[in-house]
Amino acid sequence: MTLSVKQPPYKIPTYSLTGDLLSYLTCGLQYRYHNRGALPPSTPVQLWFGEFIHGVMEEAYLRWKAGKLNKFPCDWKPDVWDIETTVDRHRLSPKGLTPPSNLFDRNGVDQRIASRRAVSSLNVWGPELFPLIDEAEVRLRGIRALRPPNLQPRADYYEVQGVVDVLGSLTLSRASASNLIVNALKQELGDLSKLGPSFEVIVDYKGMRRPANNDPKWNQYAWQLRTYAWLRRMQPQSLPTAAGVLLFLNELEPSAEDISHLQEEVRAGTTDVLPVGADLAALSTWSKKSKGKSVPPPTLSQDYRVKRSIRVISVDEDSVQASLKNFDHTVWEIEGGVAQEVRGIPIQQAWGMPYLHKHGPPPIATCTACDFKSYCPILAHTGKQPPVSVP
Amino acid sequence: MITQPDFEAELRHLSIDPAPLGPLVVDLADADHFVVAGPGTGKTTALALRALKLILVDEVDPASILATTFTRRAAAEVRSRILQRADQIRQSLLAKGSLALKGRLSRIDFNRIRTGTLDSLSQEILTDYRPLGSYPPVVIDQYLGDALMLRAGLFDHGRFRRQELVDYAVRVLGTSRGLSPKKLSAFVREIHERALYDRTDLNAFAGAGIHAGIPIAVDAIEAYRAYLAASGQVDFALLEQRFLDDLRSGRLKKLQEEVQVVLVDEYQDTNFLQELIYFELAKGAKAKGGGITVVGDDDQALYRFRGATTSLFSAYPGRVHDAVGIQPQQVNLVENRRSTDDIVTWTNDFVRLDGEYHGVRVPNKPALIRRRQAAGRFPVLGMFRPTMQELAEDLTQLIDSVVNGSGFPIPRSKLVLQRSPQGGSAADVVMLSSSPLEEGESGPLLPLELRRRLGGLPHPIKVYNPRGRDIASVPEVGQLLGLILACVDPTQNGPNLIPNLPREALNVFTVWRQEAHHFQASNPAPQAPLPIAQFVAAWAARTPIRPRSRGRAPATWPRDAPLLQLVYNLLTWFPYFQSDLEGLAYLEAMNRTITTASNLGKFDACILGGPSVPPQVADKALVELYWNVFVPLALDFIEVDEDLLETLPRDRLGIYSIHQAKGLEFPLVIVDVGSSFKQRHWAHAFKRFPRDEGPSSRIEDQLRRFSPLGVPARQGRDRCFDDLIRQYFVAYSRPQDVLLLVGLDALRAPQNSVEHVALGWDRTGTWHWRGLGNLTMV
Repeated sequence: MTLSVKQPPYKIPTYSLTGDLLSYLTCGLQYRYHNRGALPPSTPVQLWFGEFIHGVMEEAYLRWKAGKLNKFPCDWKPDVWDIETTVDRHRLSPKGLTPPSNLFDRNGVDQRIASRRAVSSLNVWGPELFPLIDEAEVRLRGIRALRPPNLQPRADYYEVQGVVDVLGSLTLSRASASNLIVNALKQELGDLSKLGPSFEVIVDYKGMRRPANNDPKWNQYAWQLRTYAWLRRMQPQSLPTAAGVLLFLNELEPSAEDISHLQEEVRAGTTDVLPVGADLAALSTWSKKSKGKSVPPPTLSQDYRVKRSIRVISVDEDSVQASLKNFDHTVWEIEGGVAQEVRGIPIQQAWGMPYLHKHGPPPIATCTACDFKSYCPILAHTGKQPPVSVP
Repeated sequence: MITQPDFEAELRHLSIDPAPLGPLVVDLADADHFVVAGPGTGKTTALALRALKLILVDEVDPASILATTFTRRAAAEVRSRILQRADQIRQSLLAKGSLALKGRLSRIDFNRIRTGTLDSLSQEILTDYRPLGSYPPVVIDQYLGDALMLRAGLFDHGRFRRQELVDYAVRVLGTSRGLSPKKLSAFVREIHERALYDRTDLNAFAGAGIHAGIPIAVDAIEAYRAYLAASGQVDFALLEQRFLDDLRSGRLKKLQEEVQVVLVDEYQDTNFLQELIYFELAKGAKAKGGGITVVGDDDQALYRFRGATTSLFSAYPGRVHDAVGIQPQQVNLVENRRSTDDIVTWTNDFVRLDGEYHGVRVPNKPALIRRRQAAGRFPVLGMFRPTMQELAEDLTQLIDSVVNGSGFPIPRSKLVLQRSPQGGSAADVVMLSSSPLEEGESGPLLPLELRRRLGGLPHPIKVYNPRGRDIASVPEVGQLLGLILACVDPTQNGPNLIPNLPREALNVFTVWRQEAHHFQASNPAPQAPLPIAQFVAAWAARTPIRPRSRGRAPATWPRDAPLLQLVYNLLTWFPYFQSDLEGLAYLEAMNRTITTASNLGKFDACILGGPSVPPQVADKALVELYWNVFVPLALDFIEVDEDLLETLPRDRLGIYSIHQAKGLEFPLVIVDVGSSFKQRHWAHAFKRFPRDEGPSSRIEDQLRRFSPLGVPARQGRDRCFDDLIRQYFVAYSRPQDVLLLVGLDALRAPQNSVEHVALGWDRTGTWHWRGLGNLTMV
């Protein structure tokens, strides 16, 4: 009797656009540890804040829709603080996400930066965005053919998932002429009536600052929105997606570090939204420290902060197909890592070096914050591996 | 959208013969089915095709189809099959269909089919459909549930030391050996879960005067439930309870208006609470002109010990008629495409041996028919030896011959057992038993003996046995945890601060510290720039070392240092955790405990220190770490997430419990029927020939007195026999090509042999397979 060969169960791998694909593009090995390996970061600053601000916007929208949040601007207490603690206690804590104490005061005594950003985000974008939302937290799922070259894939397809808010053209057309979202759309797309009578716009919040021009994240976010558009297209009740809107909520309340980065970008001309007038003067003259003491960041004009916090991504068939191809390639790389593991290649070799050869080393900030830096083969290869510290 | 003949033609184009599936691929959406599907008969395919038929032929909206199954793995497989076949059929139709058809096809979103386990679907639905202002449920896993029961239910008020409770547990479990805090916690949680599943009136149970320990157990359960409620958490049983409540109250009216078709897999493992959920969903489906199809096999019902009620499946037609007013059509799937003729015959024979068992099977259940194109005949094999060591030695030689050599010749025949030359490997072989544990109270068991011997071969064969040992007993884990203790509690003062700390945990801490000491003394790489001894010493002294601080004024120790950060830094000296798949899975389990701890406690799983922290506050944080991290790990509350091991190389021989193997198939299956049964001993009677009703039946009977289900008519001991028959039926139906039974000679001696259901004994004591002459001995 010649035995058969054991076949693995047929399972289409599932990828989250943000949790998997964008994470992998940031650093392949870090993705393997944190995402696929389910190892949480020791100080999940970005993870916590990203989930926090999403949760605040979603919870606030639900309350606004129920008529329980009907005045803008809202005050930190009593309006926003309750939303924040709801999100912290009922959404984040149960997932094991505890807030970094420098960002958020769980006792509600200090309005730290996470709380300030929550208030700003709601007061700026709440009145502009909420009335335009047709469907909130729409789950998107779809499958694509999995045909990596030079690799026998685990399945014929992969499934990709995401969650977005959707704005409909009918509600957009009813918005006031001064609506910031509508004006941003017009600025990027021109006359909206040429898009036809029925279209949609997808919105995604980002709990981060606006990337610099040369930051690969721009492309990645554009791919993300265009892939969402493709997924949305398959839902029967959908209309053609004309654009995506990214909201970089940190721009409404930038930290000292954010302002430092902005200063560099303005000097180098590597940001697409440049300051003028008083904003330019404030940025040019600010210094992080004075006589050894930290100096609070300058207050930039609301108009400038709003401009920096919104970006419209156009969606057309060519750009959608190009984005899908880019994500296909990303999935091929991930599947390549999986295939290496199945062949018995150790994890660091299977994920570290291939990522490095394809993409180069990750950004310094990514490595500085990484829990695995003191034994990272990528950093060892580039000669930048730091020694382990205590604590 | 397409006609029935066109749909069937598309299936045949994909080499799928729709005929055996009968009404499942023909009936309209409003049809109801009771599908009895034996092993290897393609029930995943059946469910997938039913869904596709309804969408493509009857134009049912994919979003209105809800398909549930028992495990995440099975749910992923069902979903994958649906999506795969859907796209294949769609592409075929797009290539040749009319423009109108193409337009309609391109608008079908198959991805909107709702698939998952009942738990995952409940969680998703309760989140998506929750009323404004309410919160989504946060579900805790079994291990956190056990740890919380210990913490909030048993340690609180010292209930775990109450003698009445211990006595009650001993009486139900039938032994006082090894009644660890973990076992006590698991016991009380079982009562909690069964009470929910059986809809038991716990107050009546507590007040009935059955045993003085019961009110204490019920107090512990109520404390546990209150703790979860206060933190917005639910375990799986509470999640299902909430789901049913919301269905019945109308809070999920929108869902019930959307779901038109309900497909339920593994229905034989359903409990009463789940049955009520399915019936509520079925009522909604019928109101929309839809139907319900349930699929299962009572001969494969393995989860009575976790609260399932098998009779709900065999009695399904009558029960669903009474509750929902429908009369489902019974469909029997009997064509086994998995196994050879010999294995199908063996399995059929086995399940028919015990006359008493027939009374609880689905009435008039037909036997399996082989449909696989098998090359030739190959007998069911047996290997029995005087001792476990000899058995392990000879089994190793057999496996080596098959995997590494030119094959294993079957004595007194021309048959040779060999792996496939095209990609065959150790992954084609699996060993199943009632438990995959590698060590027992009296020492190594067959899995460990096999692991050692296979690893010592000239061409070593690795073993994959994720449930074989406690995480804390893995050497590298012990070393890492010992180093953590050395860093966070250098003076070993922590246990002194905790009066109730279980002695078992203390002993494990001592072992960890010793292992860490030895590891440190070995001066592992990297020794530069910071050797491990210096790292640990700096931590113990709370003296920071920062690369940039060298030569400048030293940094101050931070107020709080996350425990996770210490773990990740210590990995510098553990390549095993950096790069090995199993190492990473163990690390994840440890870290899961830490993140859970940050949820349970006030100090977010941090070590407090530095000049601004009063010592008593630092001590409180340390105590929290002991309770929430070190004790659960020491007492083996945490298990590896096997999903993290799905990319393990194929070159490993698998060792699983029979439960783990359910739904899977393997070319060569070795079933350990008794490698440690040297003689008839009461201690292992429950694993082979029960003498009494056993713990599960005792709890079941006690709780059912206060449940609408009522006390089971069937005696507890009979239920135990039934469970054993099902367990080995599942084991025997896993192989595709070859089945090999292994055990000790005591099991096959013609006289005074050790009775075992798996070897042809029925409960009356008749040995139908006396001497095991029906096996070909090797």
